[in-house]
Amino acid sequence: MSKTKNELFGALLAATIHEIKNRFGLLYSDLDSLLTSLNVSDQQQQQVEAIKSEAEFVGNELVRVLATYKSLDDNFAINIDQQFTIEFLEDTIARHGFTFRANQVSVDLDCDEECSGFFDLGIATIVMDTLIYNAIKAGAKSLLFCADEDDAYLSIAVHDNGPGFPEHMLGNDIQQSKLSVDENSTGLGLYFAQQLLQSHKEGDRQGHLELAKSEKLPGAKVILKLPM
Amino acid sequence: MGLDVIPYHKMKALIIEDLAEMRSSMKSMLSNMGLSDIESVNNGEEALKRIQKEHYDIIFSDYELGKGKDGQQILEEVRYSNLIKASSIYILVTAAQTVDMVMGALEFEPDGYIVKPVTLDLLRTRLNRIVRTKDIYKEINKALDRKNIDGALDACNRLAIQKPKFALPAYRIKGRILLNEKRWEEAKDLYETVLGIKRVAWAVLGMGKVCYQINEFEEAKPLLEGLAATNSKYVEAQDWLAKVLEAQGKYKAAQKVLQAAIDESPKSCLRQQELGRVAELNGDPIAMRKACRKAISLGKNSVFAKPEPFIGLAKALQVSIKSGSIRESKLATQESMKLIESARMDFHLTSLQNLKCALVEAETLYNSKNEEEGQLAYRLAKNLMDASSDLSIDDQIDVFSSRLLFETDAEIQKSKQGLLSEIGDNKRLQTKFYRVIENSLSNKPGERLELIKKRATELLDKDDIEDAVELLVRGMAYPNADDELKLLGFNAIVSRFEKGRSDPELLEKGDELSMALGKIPSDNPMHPQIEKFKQRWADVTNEQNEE
Repeated sequence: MSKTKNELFGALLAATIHEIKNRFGLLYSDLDSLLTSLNVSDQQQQQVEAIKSEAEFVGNELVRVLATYKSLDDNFAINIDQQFTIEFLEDTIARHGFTFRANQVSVDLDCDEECSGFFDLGIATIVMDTLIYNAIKAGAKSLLFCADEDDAYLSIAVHDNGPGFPEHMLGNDIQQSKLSVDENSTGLGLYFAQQLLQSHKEGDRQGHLELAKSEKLPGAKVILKLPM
Repeated sequence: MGLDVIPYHKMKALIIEDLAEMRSSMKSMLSNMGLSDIESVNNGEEALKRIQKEHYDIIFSDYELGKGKDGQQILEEVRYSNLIKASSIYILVTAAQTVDMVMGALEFEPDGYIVKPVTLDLLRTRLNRIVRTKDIYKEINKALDRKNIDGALDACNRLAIQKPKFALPAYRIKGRILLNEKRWEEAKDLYETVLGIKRVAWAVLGMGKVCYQINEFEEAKPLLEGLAATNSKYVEAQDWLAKVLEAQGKYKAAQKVLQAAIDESPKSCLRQQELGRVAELNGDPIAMRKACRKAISLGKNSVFAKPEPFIGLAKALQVSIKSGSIRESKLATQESMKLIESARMDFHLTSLQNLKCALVEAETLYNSKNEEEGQLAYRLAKNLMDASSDLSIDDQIDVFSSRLLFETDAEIQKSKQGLLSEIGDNKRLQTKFYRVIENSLSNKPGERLELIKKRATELLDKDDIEDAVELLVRGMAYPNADDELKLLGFNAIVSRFEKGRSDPELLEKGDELSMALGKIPSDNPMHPQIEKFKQRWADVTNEQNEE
């Protein structure tokens, strides 16, 4: 495909996803109010939660794909402001409440009230959503969110008790070439997350992800590094 | 952080939500958290009435409220006219799709957002956090509620020292207070300090505003342009950018920026008012009509309602009154008279607004073929004009177009000379004045062309290349643009490039002019000049290609 064809294709794709996302949003909000107004048994209620969770999952996924697409655009400029990590993490956890409940995932948070950093809230949200979905898809039932800061970076870590990353993926060198088919879309999501974080620059430091073995839970640890 | 147990049982809340089920679900969640004094309304108008009467500690407003005002507009009104205390908490509840819209508000920011669907867990977590955060700024807000400005500024400084982590948010509040108090120099120092630490959006906007206020337009422009280009929809940056462009006499660019901001967020009454005003400067009655209509309808039951959009719409209707079909003309005349009446009945008019009403009334009569009544009404209005000694030069320019319609050539010349001497060297006012005359000549294209040539020659003589280019590019778009005008345009573009200010659109225009003017036969008296400019154009564009 020539470059213009590619661009056209990209624009068409983005427009389509945008349309689907909006329609889905309407559908979801109708569904949500309908389900809320129903009187159902406990067992049905569990199903209701599962439906809501799945709907939220799909909806968020669309928002995420679209936001990623927009953010990788050439004309994109990020907006950095001071963010208090506790607020960001509490909000993230609360937003995924349905998903956590429906998948029986327990969540812990370890973050100082005054811990803060400088980042684009939209981008950090996309990246966190990616990490949470990845962990749940991999089968994690327990998540731990930690944050701390030093002079160089704010580090937000997501620990899980899933299977962990294969050895060759560990570190901070996340490249498309390293991804294999059996890793599904996990690697691709991480690749895009990494691309997005790189828009955060301060001196010679750059935003990035680090993949490691968790020292607090039996599974993986992903650290969002955001330059101070 | 001090506040371990939040005394929700002592707090009074208001829920603004159009859907009944959501209202009751919100209410039950809040009572579950310990609140007992909870009221709710289903639209923005009702909410504003309640807020004026009652004190609420927490206000939850849905962003999307159906037809009327949205949650952001309610917030703007509430903050603009200080309807709630600084210590009250305003929370916007928004759907995931509208988060971007909501987050773009730098000037009128809520204390927090909650993204739907709202569950008890989510509400509890978010509300606790928002209340705790608000508590950090308690001293500042208390002082603000007592109108103790210096106390509030001191409290900002104290917070920044005691809790360095909260220095930036404290400075943000401090900047806002300083801007409100018109303490520009202090505000400038503050934003400079902050931007030295980190380039945060609110400080860029603050600096842009200060630079605008102290007439440093060239400094303000790149700041606001940069902000408007980021992915978050900082529409306020566009509002201020439009102000800067207007101050620089770039009305067309200002209108474009405002239009873009309105496409992004069409419900702002103030923004529509601004667009109506700037469209008038551009002599664009279609855009003016649309914006004024919107501003009037958005102004209903709003603190932002002003008589100007009524007067503006009546002015914009003059084209239809004068040149529309019989039916169109009749309807437009009726509407215009009704608008003038509304302006007079519904508002407490200043003497200037009164004058503007009287003038547009006279124009309406005159243009609807009641010339005599129109003249009579104008004489009455003129008495008002002569009586108001306090008209600023801007105001005098605003009403000058009416003089052009009603006065004799001798009278016009006299007031024109008088006004020009008052305008003196002020470039902004000069630009505005010539623009008003240019707009009023829309049905006399020959005179308009001569005016543009005369003004452009003046600008080129004064080496005011930017303004000359702007004027001539507009002039060359008129159907009767002739070779003489094109030569002036070519001259202006060549000079601009020679000053090192190239531009892709102008490059195309320059090449086009070079071609077109090149076809003029060599016995034409302009030919030698054309050849000179063609040579200079070739030189300057070649240089750039080499670079």
